[in-house]
Amino acid sequence: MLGERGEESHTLGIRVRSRSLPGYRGVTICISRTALELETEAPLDLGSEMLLDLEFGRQDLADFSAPAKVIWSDPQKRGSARSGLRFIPQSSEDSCNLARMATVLKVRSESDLQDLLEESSRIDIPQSRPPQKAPAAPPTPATDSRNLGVYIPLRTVLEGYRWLRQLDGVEVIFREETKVHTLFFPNCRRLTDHFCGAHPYVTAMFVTVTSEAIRSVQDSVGGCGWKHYRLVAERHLSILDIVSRGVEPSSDEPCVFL
Amino acid sequence: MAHQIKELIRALFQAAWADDEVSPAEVEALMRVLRQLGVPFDEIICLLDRNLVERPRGLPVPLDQVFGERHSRMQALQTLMTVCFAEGVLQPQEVGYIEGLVTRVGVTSDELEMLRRNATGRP
Repeated sequence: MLGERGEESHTLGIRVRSRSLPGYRGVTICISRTALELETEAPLDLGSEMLLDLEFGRQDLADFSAPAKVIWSDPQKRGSARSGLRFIPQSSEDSCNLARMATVLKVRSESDLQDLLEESSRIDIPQSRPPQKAPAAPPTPATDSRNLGVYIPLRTVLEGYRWLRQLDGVEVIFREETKVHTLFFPNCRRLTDHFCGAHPYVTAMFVTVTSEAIRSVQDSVGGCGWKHYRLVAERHLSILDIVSRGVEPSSDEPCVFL
Repeated sequence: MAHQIKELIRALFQAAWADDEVSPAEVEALMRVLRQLGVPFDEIICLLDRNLVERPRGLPVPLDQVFGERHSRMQALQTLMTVCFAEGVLQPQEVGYIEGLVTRVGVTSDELEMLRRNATGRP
C-alpha cells in the first residue's frame, strides 16, 4: 500500500465512482487516510489525477469526494487492473474528510465483524441474510435503527482527567476558549492514555457500543450497557480511550435539558 | 420554558432520525442548534451520546400542544427544519416527517417556503 509508513490501511470494498475511471467506477481493495488500492475495468494512466466519489453506504460515514493521483497500475486477468493511488487533498475540507474516514474505519476495525453482522441481522430481521465474507457492510436497518459508531465533533482542549474513587468513575476536563467543561464516565473499567499530553487538542469523540475493548471488559466484569469512548486529535490520532457506562455531566449544577 | 425546550430537543432527535440515519452534517446541525438553545456543553455531549447510538423511542412530539402560540410553533418548526436540511437536500422520509409537522402546526404554503429558505439559506 502507498500509505504513509506506520499508517493503518483497511481491507474494504468501497464503491468508487469517477468520470476518469474506466467504466466510471471501481472498487477499493484497501484504503487508508493517504492512499487506496483500486480494482478497475482497465489499467489507469500513471500520474493522472482524478476526483474520486467514495460511496461508503453506512450511517456513520457520509459519502465524499477526494482528489487522487495514480502511482502504479497493474493489468490483471480478463482485462481488469489493480492500481495504487495517493490522495492529494486540495483543501482543509478534503483533509478533514479523509481523517474522519480513517478514524471511523480504525474504530470499526476493532469490532468483531461477525458480531456486527449478527447484531445487524438481529436489528433488521426482515432484511437479514447469511453472514458474508469480509469485507461486507451490515445490511441497512429499515425501522429500528442503531448507529454502531457515533462521531461527535468537539474542537476543545483536553485539560486532563482524574479518577474519582468514591463515585467509581473518571472525570475528564475540557477547555473551550475560556470555558471549562467536565464529563463524567461512570464505572470506568478501562482507560488508555495514548500520551494525550502531546496532543491536547481534541477534534472529536467517537462512541461505539461494540468493540474489542468492550468485549474485554465484559469478559472480566460482565454486565452490559458498556460504551467505548475514544477522544481523537488531528489526523485521527487516538489520545484517550475509555470504556464505561454512558457519559454523564459532571457539573454540580442540576441538569436542565437531560 | 424548560419543558418546551426539552420537548423541542426530543423533537430535534426525532427529526434527525427521520430518514433512519443521522449523518455527520446532521450531528453538526444538532450541536449548533442545541448551543443556540442554551444547552450546556456537557449536556449536549450526553444528549448526543444517548440519542445517536439508537433511535429514541416515543411518539412524535406534538408541537401544537407543546407550543401554545403560533409564533413559537413556527420558531420550533424552523429549528427542526434546520436539522432536516443539514445535508442540503431532504430524504423522502424527512419530507414525510415535515409534512406531518406542518399539518399539525397549520402552516400555509408561503410560510413553508419561507421556512425552507431560512433553513437552507437559499432562495
